[in-house]
Amino acid sequence: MPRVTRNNSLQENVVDVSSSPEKEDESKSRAKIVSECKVHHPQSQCVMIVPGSGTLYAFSHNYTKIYEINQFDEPKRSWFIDNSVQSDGSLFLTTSIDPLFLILPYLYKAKYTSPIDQLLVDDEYPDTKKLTTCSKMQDLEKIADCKQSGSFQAWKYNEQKTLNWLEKKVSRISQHLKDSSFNVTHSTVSANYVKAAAAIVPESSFMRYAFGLVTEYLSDELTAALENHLNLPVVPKLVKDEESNEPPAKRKKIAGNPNQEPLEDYSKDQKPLTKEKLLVSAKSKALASAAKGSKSISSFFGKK
Amino acid sequence: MFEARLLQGSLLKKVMEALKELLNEAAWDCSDAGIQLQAMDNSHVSLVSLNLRAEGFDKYRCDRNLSMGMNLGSMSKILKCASNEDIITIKAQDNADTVTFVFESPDQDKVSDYEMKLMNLDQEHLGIPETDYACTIRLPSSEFARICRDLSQFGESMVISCTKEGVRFSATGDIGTGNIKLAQSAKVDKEEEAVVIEMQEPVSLTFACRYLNSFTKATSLSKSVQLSMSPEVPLVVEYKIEDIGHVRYYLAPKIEDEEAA
Repeated sequence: MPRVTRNNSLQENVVDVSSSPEKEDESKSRAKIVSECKVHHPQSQCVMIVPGSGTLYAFSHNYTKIYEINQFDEPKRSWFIDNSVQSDGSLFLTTSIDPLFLILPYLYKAKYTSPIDQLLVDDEYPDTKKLTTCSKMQDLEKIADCKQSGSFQAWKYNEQKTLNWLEKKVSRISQHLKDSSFNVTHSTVSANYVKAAAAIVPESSFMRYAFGLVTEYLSDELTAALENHLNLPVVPKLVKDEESNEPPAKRKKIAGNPNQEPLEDYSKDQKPLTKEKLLVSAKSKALASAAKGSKSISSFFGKK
Repeated sequence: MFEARLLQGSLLKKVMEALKELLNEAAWDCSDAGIQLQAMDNSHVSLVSLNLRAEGFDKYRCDRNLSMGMNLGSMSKILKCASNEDIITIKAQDNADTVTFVFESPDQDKVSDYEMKLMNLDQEHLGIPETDYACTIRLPSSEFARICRDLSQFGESMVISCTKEGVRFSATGDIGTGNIKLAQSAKVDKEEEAVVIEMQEPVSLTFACRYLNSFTKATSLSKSVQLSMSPEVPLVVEYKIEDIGHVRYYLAPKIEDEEAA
């Protein structure tokens, strides 16, 4: 039941597709409470796909929840809002996200045990420090060790804890995918296609799919570590055309195969003439040029 | 069966040098009387005529008239395998498609033979009429070679004008003008060193230096060279080969000067 709301701070239309009951309660004041901020995407922490491009996140009114904003845009689409038309027909989807995913790269990067407000310092994205309010101590304990003296809390990244936490995430998503009979196989299946018998999809396929979803928010190192930790079965590689037992295609594919060269290339220079030939031709050319202005000798002597 | 044995092998080597500058291939016409060759260069401006009489050979046999088309480049390569002292024999069967060259060293202890493929040449023969030339100039061949070499530095064409005072070779080009005047020798010690001019009427003709230079490749064949000229007919440059024949070059005069005038 998507609902379109006018959002001043975002200057965009925000559609909330989440349907959890607690969000329904909050939604009344959503128009006022949501504020935008730019934060490093956790994956781009290590792999800077577009340098300096942050990802847009939305905070709830008291900065206790953070939402990921995804834009869905199709050309030639507009919104009717009351009696007016909003020409921008793009759709923003907000989904709540565990702030730990955003904190994780900073924690991972930190060399020393340090308090959370010192960890979340990013000159490029000053909004990052707002994450401190979203995170609770019990959440942070899932991925880090705490050192406490009085009210002072300092944190140190713990990989084992993190991997266990991520494993739980993966298994929960995997379970959810399974329950909702989500298609996780390689091939696409029509939505109207219903199998008579229950599809036998191996558990590992759901795990692999869930792993893929989770690692979208993880750095490359952590992805590799998690894969190791989960001990996922190796994905069978798609068999390439050459290796298949099928009979060869009747027509050779030229465009598809970059290694295939055209049989003849006229753009390249033809084989150069041999030196001897060049010499002879140069000599005869010179003689020919010297012959200019002279009548043919056969015009003087009759043919026999 | 054709067989021609030439004691002076170097002579054939020299003939080869005289021909291959202008011609790529030529037909050697062998008959009872001897060997004749007539061919035009690629531009059809000059004509080369070679005559080697049968009596000039040590041994000559030609049962049937034979025309052997030869690639002169290949023939020259083969003749380079012969030393100057060698006796050269040319052999061919009737209607054969190859010709054999046999080189014998003077003391007969080395005999080498080379077989060469013949070519099918479809060459037309030109009839050269007997002409009384207005001027004939006989001069040492080395002198003529020197004149051609020197004047070709000045321009592409050379004017040869013959008057009763003598013969004047001149060339004009970007760097300037060159003139060489030869007068008839007053006293003659050796006949081949003399400059002899026979003139009925004065003649002045223009020729391409490059062709004249090519003709002088035959200089080694003869001590003297004879130039024959008449107005508006080809120049004849003749090198006599002692006791056996001659090489004659015919060169059409240039007509550009007349067009410019």
